Amino acid sequence: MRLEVTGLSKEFRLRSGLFRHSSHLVAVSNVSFVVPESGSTAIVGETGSGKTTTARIVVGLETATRGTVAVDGTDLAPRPHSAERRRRARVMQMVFQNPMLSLDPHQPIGSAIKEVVVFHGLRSSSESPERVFELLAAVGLDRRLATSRPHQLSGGQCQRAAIARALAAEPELLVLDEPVSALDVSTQAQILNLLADLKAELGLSLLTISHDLALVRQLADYVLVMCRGEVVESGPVDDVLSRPQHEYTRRLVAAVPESMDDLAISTSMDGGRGTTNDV
Amino acid sequence: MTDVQADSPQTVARTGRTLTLDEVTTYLRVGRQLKPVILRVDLELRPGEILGLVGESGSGKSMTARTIAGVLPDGATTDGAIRLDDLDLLRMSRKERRAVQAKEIGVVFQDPRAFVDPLWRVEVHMTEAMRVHLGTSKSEATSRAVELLAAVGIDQPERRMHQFPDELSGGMLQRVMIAGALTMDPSVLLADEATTALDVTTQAEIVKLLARLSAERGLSVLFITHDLALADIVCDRVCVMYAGRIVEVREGRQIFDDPIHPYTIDLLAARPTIKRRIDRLPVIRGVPTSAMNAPSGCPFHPRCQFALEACTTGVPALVPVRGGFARCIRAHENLTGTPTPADAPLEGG
Amino acid sequence: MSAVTGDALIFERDTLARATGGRWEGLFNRIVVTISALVLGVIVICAIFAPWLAPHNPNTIHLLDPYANPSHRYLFGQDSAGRDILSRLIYGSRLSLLGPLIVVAIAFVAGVPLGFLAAYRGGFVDGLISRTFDVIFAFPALLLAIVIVATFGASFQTAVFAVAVTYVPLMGRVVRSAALVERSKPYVEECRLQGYGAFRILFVHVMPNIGRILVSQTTLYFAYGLLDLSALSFLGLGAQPPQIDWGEMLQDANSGVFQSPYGVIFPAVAIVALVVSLNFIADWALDYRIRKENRA
Repeated sequence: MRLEVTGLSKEFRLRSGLFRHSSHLVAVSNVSFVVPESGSTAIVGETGSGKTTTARIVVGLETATRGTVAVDGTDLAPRPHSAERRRRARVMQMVFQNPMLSLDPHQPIGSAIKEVVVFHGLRSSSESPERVFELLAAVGLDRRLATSRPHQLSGGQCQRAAIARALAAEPELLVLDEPVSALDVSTQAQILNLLADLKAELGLSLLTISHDLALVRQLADYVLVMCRGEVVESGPVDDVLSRPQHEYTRRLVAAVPESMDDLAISTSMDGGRGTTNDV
Repeated sequence: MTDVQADSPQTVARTGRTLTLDEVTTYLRVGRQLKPVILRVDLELRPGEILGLVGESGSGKSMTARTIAGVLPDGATTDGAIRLDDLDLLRMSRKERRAVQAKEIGVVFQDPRAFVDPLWRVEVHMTEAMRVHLGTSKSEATSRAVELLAAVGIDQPERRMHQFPDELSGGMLQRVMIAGALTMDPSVLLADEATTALDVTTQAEIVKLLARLSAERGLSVLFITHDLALADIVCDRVCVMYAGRIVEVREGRQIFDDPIHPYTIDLLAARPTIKRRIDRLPVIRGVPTSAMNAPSGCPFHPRCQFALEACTTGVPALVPVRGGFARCIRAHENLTGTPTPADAPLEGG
Repeated sequence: MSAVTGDALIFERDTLARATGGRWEGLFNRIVVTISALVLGVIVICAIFAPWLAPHNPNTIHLLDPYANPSHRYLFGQDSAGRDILSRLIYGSRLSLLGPLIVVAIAFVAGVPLGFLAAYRGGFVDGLISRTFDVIFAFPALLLAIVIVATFGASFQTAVFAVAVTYVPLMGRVVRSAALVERSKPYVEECRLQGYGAFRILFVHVMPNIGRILVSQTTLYFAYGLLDLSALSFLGLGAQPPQIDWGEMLQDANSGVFQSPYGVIFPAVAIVALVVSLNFIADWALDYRIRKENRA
């Protein structure tokens, strides 16, 4: 499937004080991009860049002020009701940042996955356990963990369960919001490999939101750099990260620890004083 | 400990103090049992040095910081010795220890917003400790606070004093935290994942700030992080912890270029890099373990690609190797990482 | 970005949470809760097995021995009409347990859906429900109950209904807050994304997660409902003779308190013991899941 986002904008109206001086917070401004069939696109930015809001608009958790989100040429309804959401869930699924919180604390993971399978009518209730085991195996979880609740699992296991649940709806696009930032380094590698495998095996498209440039390099083909709601640079990931054009992108790349060759040199240059980043 | 002197700061504003941990073991009370979280940790933080403590879940790095700062839950006990120069904190009375910890040890945590009362203006946060512990007058405390805010790179410090935490960005708030930790003029600053919750550009600024403060004031910094690359560039020396023990100690920059311990080797190999895409990230099988759940023998052996039969009997000692230390019986062999089969095992964590 | 809760932090938080503080801390709690459970158990047994446990007929009058002190025959003494206090106490436990039970049932059945409706729909519906609750809250609960009873006539049933009305908004408000908290969590967003309907989200997902709070609140409302009902009976507005509940016993003993305090002491102690025990149990229930998780 092909995801096409055009001219997406989102403004939040803030009301302050008794006399209703409404000010606008522009979270997203005129963002456009494409995720091609079986493609992997990433949106990179820092706090307040609008990358998360953009992702949320794509899946339907937020409504855009302007602009459209289209799947295979058809625009998606801006304010979906449950039936519409159900249809959309078969096309795209989201994997959230904090794996422990994105799973129902009270529900065993097998039951959560089964619920998705049966809800979308993909298997009957009696056939579903087999499917659940299939999905668990696909994400590298032992089938015996199906009766476990999130708090009994590690962060990495929870994230795998969340991915399994997302796959249960048989979507074509996975939207990943900081999928590994809450995990240990050694676990991150496992999940990244898993995602790459799933993409290859199932032909999934990936839309990854992250602040981590190394992760983006590892996972994505195409990248958008956002700053304060706008896309400041975009292009194939190799080009943007190896030869950044925009000043902001350069700053991002330079700030990654790997790029900071010698702290002593950079200390003397900067003196560690606050910059315009800190308001 | 290695006798190689790291580049010492030229002008030390004051005589710093050395913080030494000697065979420190901390136990937490779980139900009726005492379970260890860090085991026989030896550590020396020299005046003006930035020492990195790197580890993942269960490594004990945060517990070490908490032990030094004295913020452990009730029922926890600590064996060994924690010395500030000659003063053994663990042999002091609780009251004396608290006084020393308040004065000499500053702490900065990961998420400033979780540790700051949102109803307190910056000035209250900054002056509280001085006025309570040192009996400083309000005006004196305020001027010192303003001075410190400026020292950490905050512009318009007088104005900032009157602001509330939610009016400040994450980076700015963390600077305030650092300034706050310095009000008592401590000799040691514990930075526990102090930059983890910040944007990467802000993180870069904060670590530069810490380096500058350390150089200018002779402040020793214990820099705790999960990010090996960050520790590598920031710290004079780096300690890697696993399952509550120190498994490797290296001079700064060497840990990245020449890791000794299998865990460190694997950890470095498992990271994605901004420079290029790696076909399949090498994966350390299994999950990080904690001191209480560690197997007998070397705690890393079930996950180690170089493990031998001998690794299951007894914990290796920390031995000097190639200018550093490593807790591995094969440390003297020049082990280089061979990418492990990268499929996630069924019980992948 | 918001605070990154790493595996490491979660691990650390769990480790610290498992560290249960001093040796003796948990022990005191366990003793207290066990005693409370015993007290509750005894009272429930009295209620169920009253005919077998009570030594005498609770309504048999002996006008010649009003306010008699405890004796071999009448272990707790006799009340204003010479009836056996012990037997009345045992039989009284029936209505004293049944009343609050019905109050709580009504509060639950009406309050939970209203709370969910307010939390889930938000906007106008929430406003309507919350303001209605506020109006009811504006009246002192007991006063409102008295007004209702006065309007419809004094009886056990009206008293129960009246008190229930004052508890519905309490339950509703608690449920609304708890549901709102859950609603903002990612797992509920995920449910919405899947296209789950409101019913499924609320009853399959949200409700089990607020279960602890519900159980704890229900237990507390039982206790306070008992106090309110006893108060109404004490004022003569609740259980009417020959119905017996502890509040009614207090009403009866009130006039003769200087001749014999026993008529007041025993029902009062019974009420207090039950209310206190329920409070401890409610507290314990609130922490139940956390303890269970820690032991895992």
